[in-house]
Amino acid sequence: MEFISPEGLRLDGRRPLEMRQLRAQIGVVSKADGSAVFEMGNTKVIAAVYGPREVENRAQQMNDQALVRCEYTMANFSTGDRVRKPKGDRRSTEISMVIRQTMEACIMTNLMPRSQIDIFVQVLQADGGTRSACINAATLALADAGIPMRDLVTSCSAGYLNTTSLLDLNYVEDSAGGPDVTVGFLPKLDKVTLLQMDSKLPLDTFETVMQLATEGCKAVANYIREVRTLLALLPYSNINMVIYSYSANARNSCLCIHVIYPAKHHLYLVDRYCLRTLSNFSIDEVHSLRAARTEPLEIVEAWRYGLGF
Amino acid sequence: MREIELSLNQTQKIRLQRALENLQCLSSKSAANASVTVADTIPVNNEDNILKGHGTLELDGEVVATVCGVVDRVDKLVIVRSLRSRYKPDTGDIIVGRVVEVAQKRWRVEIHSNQDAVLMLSSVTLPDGIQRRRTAVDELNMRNIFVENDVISAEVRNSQHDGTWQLHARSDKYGKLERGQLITVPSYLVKRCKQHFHQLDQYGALLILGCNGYVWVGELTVAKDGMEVDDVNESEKTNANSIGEINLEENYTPLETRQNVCRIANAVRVLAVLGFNITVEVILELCDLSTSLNLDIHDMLGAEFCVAVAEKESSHAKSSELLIAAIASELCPHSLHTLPALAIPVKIASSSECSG
Repeated sequence: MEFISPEGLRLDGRRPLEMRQLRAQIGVVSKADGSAVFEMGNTKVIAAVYGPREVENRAQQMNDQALVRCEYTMANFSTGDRVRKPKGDRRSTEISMVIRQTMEACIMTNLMPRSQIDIFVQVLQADGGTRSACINAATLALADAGIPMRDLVTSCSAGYLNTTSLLDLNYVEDSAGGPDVTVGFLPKLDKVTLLQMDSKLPLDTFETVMQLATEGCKAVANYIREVRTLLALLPYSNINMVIYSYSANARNSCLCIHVIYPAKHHLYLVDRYCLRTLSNFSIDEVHSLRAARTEPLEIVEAWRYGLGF
Repeated sequence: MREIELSLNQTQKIRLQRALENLQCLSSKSAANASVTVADTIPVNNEDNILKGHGTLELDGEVVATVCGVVDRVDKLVIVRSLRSRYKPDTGDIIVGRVVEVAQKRWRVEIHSNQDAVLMLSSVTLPDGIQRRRTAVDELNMRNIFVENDVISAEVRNSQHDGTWQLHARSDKYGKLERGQLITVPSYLVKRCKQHFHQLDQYGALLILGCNGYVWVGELTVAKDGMEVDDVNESEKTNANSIGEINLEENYTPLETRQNVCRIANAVRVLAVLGFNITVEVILELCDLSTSLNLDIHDMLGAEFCVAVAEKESSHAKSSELLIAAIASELCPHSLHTLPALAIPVKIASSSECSG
């Protein structure tokens, strides 16, 4: 099957080294200590973290570190055909274990002895790369719960089809049977915490594919941090930052932040709770933003408020 | 990125957003600048040797945050205060908890912390104030005092070497809580202050704001200890005492009191939804606001009331900042700010900590 068109585009219109759109939201489960929804294109995952709390099973209690538990489930409606999935099948047990180990590596468990942290992840929409999306969602949820971590672990997958390395495989590409490399990465420490691969690859190709997946992880980390970097930049005003109120999108009133770095321009769209980078921003839209200009600082403050800082 | 979970229509959404923005504008900006996320480098001068406190980690000579929060510096000590985490007990905190286990000479109490706390039998006063005899029979009768699932109020005593916290209930004001409801809110919304027990005589209700985020609203039965509880005049107290003794067996709460309890509880819930600090002044103000708007108790949890509260608080904050009224009226097109303002100026969301 042809996975890359002669024009060099993939089945869903992406270029080989392009990621799907990322979207994240935290604080989605009110009763949980921390929670997040993470979307990579059509893959959508919800994660909830409870704890640190008293260990349920006394026999499992550890006197020097916290017990981390993880449960991965797929919603019945997450795939194309609606199937009832038995709980605790081989696949979900394996992924639960993978997520648990990845998270355990970055949580500072030694600070919370004799307690337990529960991570629940559920796939709401499956379109390839659920494992990566789950890890990203779990990271965000743990950060939301205020659990001390060494670093924000991020994950991304990459594959190799039609003699091309592809970043962030979707379901069709995933089920082609080619190699699928999932990498979990600690961006600050520059360390790999998870590496999984289905099927085989020549060694030199593997290196490029893994490099690609690592780059993907860094991109995810940048996305997670994007909000943060923007705010960090703000006080030092060598960067010109213009903020417009933006409500062209009828459904949702949005804020738009236009950051002019010395070299390049960035447009960010903030709809109060999430932040997206806008590409293909037409010049007319920019003008309409300028027209609707409001007091910049006020909006940034409001935005901070929305972020919970 | 924390969304308020309410189903709002478009106007309500805009009004709420505007009110929250106003509040945020007025809050301290310095704290917001000091916020960090996980794995952010905290800038420090390398010359002076820095002490790394909670929420920090040393990595290649850099000080790195391990939680999302606000950086605090005390001399050479650098700590990151986490914005949202479970309750961290501290000696002297007044808390509300739930008994989960009756064990040897002790109860285990769930206090929404990392671990369950321990309440020793030796650190409670018996309900009727009689001296306890340390006998085996006495230990067998522990279930007469508290059983599983009882809600109790207590004070944090100290921490054991293994990290568990001990409670004590060595006063008449602590003990089993009955005839009321327990509301759980995020613990960072309740600030430590002098007074956590509040007797709301006009509502006939007892309000306990536990430091661990457990709020108790119940019927005000016996004015327990005149020394500890605040502002009850003498005659009422003796009155309540005698009535309380008569009604001890009778498990009946008048409808009006039950309604009042629900109203106060809903006020707490609204504050928790909006993420505002929970203090007795604000709660009473919300109760007054809801009655003056002629709202039914169940309507208090609706979107409209939430928006109204947010607007009121933002207009309050505005006026306390001594801004001109004209601006306030322009910013709050809704007529709420014309309501009789309460005498107590309300501080809401004034620190960045409560904005989560």
